[in-house]
Amino acid sequence: MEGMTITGMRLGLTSRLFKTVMKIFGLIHKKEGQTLIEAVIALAVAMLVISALAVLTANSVNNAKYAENKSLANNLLNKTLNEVRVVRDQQTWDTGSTPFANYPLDQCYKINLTTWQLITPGHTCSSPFSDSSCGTGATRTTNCVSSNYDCVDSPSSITSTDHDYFFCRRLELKLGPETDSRTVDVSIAWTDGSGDHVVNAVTDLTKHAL
Amino acid sequence: MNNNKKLGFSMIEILIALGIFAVISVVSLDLFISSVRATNKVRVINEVKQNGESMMSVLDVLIRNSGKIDSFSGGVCSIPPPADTNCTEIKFSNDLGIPWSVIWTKNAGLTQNGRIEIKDENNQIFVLSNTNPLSGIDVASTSCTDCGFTKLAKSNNNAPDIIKVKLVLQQGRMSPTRQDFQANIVFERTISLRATL
Repeated sequence: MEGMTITGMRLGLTSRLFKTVMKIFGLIHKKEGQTLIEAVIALAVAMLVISALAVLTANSVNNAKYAENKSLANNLLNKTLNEVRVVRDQQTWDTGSTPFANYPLDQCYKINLTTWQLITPGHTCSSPFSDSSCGTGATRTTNCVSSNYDCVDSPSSITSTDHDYFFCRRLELKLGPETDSRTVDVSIAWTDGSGDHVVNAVTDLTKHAL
Repeated sequence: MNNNKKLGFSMIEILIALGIFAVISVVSLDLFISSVRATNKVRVINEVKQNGESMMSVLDVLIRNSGKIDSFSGGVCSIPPPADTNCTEIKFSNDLGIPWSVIWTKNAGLTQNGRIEIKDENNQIFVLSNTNPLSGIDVASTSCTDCGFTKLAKSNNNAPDIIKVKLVLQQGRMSPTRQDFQANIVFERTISLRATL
């Protein structure tokens, strides 16, 4: 009997303690409901959590797209450097009718893939270079044709008819560090959800065997 | 009885709370899954790209210093014309007249990746691409109408030959089929032979 009383008292104490803790943490509904400040704080916390999740997701998507675009741009850089190398190999260096070494220096060029020659618009490359240099929207292609830049397809296009002109390319020819050499400076620019980006590669071409 | 009712939640309160909780849970889960999938996609693309770049740079140097072209063959080569278009094999001979070739062997079944091989004068084969069906790359043959090795027109007869290599690289054949584990990257190189014989 004595033991049961003690147990009952212990249970009663535990129960009161439990209810107190639950009240402190707001897990037991108060008769008067939530105060305005509680509701505002709860809403603010919810908004913060949702905003943080939204920002995280947007960043994640932007980073994924940026990584993909940068990969494609680097592909285009390599492709362009190879094409210039072919132009060099298809021409004599400093003799004949179209020697490679006779291209004017510090100029912007386009590559004619049919005749394997550089097209010189006779215009100095402007700086800085960005995707907006190629213009935007419907005028983009026109701007590129009339300017010194190329609108180049994303190399992800599988078929030859899939032209999206996603990247803007600048190709500049400069005097090389050694005799009979030329420095080729290629930049690829694009714009995506995380802003304007440019990747750049520079290589030196030397006089070839022909 | 009345006291108990005042202390608890009403049914409508519980339903509203559950509804809000469900909406937030679904949105959060969706965001989380999107984030995980984007991460997977970037990882797969990077792996295919790294493998592809490695393979293409070796192929680039080999072809550039290859001596002369003996023939193009294989696949849909020259069908339809022009000649030497979208082929799967190029035979070369080096400056000592020793033959060697580059071969694009297409994938077979779900376990064997399409691959790029170098065959030497003893018919010994060296594989340039990563053939692991799970972590390697598949030199894919579907969805690309103009892939393979193509001979391009030269600027004049004395100029070196030009080869266009266009390949679509995908994840290994045994990779999971889910969209975020798939990559489809086009690699294209235009290579001129430096030593014309």
